[in-house]
Amino acid sequence: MNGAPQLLSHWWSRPVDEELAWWRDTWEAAVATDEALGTCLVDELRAAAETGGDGLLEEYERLLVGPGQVPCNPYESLWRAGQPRLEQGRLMAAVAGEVTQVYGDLGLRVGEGAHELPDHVAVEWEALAYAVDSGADEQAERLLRDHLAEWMPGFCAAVGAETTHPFYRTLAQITSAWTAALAE
Amino acid sequence: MSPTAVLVCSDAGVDAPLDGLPTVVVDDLCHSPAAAARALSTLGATRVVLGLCDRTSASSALRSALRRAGAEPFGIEAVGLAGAEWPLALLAAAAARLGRLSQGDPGRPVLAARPLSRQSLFSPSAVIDYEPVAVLDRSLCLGSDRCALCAEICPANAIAGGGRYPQVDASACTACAECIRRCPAGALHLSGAAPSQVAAQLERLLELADGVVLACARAESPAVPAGWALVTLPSLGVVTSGWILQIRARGREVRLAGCGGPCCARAAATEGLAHRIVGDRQWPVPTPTTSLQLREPAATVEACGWIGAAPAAGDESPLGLLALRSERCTLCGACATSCPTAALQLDEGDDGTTLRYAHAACTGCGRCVAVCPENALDLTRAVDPVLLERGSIELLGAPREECVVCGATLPPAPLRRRLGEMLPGVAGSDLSMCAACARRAGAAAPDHPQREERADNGEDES
Repeated sequence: MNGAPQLLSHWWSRPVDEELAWWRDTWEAAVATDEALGTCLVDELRAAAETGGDGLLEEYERLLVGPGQVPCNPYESLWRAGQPRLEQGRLMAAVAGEVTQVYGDLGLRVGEGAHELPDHVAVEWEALAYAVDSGADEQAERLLRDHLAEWMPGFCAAVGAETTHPFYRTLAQITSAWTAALAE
Repeated sequence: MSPTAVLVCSDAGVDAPLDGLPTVVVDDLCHSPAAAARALSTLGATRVVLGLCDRTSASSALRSALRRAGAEPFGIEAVGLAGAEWPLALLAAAAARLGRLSQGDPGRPVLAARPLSRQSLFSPSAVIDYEPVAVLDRSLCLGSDRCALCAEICPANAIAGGGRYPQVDASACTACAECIRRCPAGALHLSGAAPSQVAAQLERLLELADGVVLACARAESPAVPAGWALVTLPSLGVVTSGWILQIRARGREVRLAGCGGPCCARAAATEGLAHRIVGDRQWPVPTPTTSLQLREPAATVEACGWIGAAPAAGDESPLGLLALRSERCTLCGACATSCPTAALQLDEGDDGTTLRYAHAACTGCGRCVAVCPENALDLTRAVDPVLLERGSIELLGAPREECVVCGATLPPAPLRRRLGEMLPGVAGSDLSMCAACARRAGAAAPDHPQREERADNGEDES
């Protein structure tokens, strides 16, 4: 179960060669996590990654990167309901500052080499993985309950509805299920 | 405002405050770094004892949060209170240890609690912990001009001996404790674990505990028997035979719990040495009334005095044991001059010259052996209780002799004999005269071979 945030961080990262190699090395651990969390979706995800590998990068960029407007924006700032009007639909809203504060509490900051905003889906899952492994229960709780559990359902639903690729359709299902299981 | 505060987890079952120290019960302290930091900030303390309900050490997140709230680098002591028989005593003992913490004990900053799996996403942003390093107490150090043994033996080359005092490079120090074990003055310790600190903690614990487990901070879940107490140290490399003997002399048992790494590699040998020193003696001996002494070599010497210990040799001995081959010694005094602890002393009194040796002060540094021109000294690492009891002993002596011509005091006879062997015929080698009289006597003798040779070369004798 501890490995779930780490797996999700990698699966929601840009599927370049380095990432694909990491996925290949960790399928067995992913199956164990899948069983521990009571879902049975990783075999399907693996099959989708292996058979549909050619279109992965294109679909990732269409869904989450752009250019232009994307159907499933991967930043928490754009998914939080109940924000002040001036923040709605904008990047780097207050929640981005909140997760940055949590990272600071963990002794971390988003590296310059990441070229990513602090509330990107892969960054938030990675921070949760670090917090869990470091025994930073309070920070882990904040990241999971106050952030990921708040926006993953909507984000995953949007990905599931929009994607044409079996990998991202299954990943949306897994993410939604694992988020709920972790937050229980 | 007290520099030390006590934060206790609400689940630890401790309600009473610790005498004399501000005590705050924090909801779910073990898992609430932010709440702990707020409590520490409110109290304005820089040192904190943590009473934890489900751990024996603070998580990196908790340490990090307390650090940002103002805790000193080695100002955090965690105590596991789960199942503790005397929680207040454990907290008080930890507070006593913090009370002896030297201000400004340096450490090596740690930026992240554990390696980041994805350096591409995150970078460490803040110092969240400190690793202990060797710390030099200048008030005890003999100074580089008399001793730089620490710099010579440091396997990491982390100590420079060039200045007035040796300098420890915290970034290079691996906290192996080699320098601590060999310092003849007991001037080095690991940050946060000075002998005086650990002694203060142990004294409180030994009032109640049947025994003590001295554990390396890296040891995983050290087993602590019922009725025993746990003392965590940065490394078991700092534990000496004297620590074990001092605790056992108070009728308490002691076990070492190492991490299995290089820092604890000598623990078994240290325990073995202590057991050999104790031998078959029955415990407890009459309870010592002095305070617990953990600085070597005093710790071992003092304990041996109580227990009538057995002779024991071993590399972990805090004492060296010298043997003099008296037929070789010339009483030149080079050994005494080089001895950093005055274990060897050359007494030049009215009755003659005496080389004296105090086993209790000999730390086995080996400087005397290195400088002895006659190769007359043999050094082993051993404790000899009989020799300790005898105090300062005479290794070799020579009666005072006077020049037969002028009556001046002559160098000791063994030295004059050796000079005579090395430099036959040179002024001063005459065993019955001082150098000046021998030179004058030599000048009066026309057949002096070396004098004739010098005259042939046109050298001026003066």
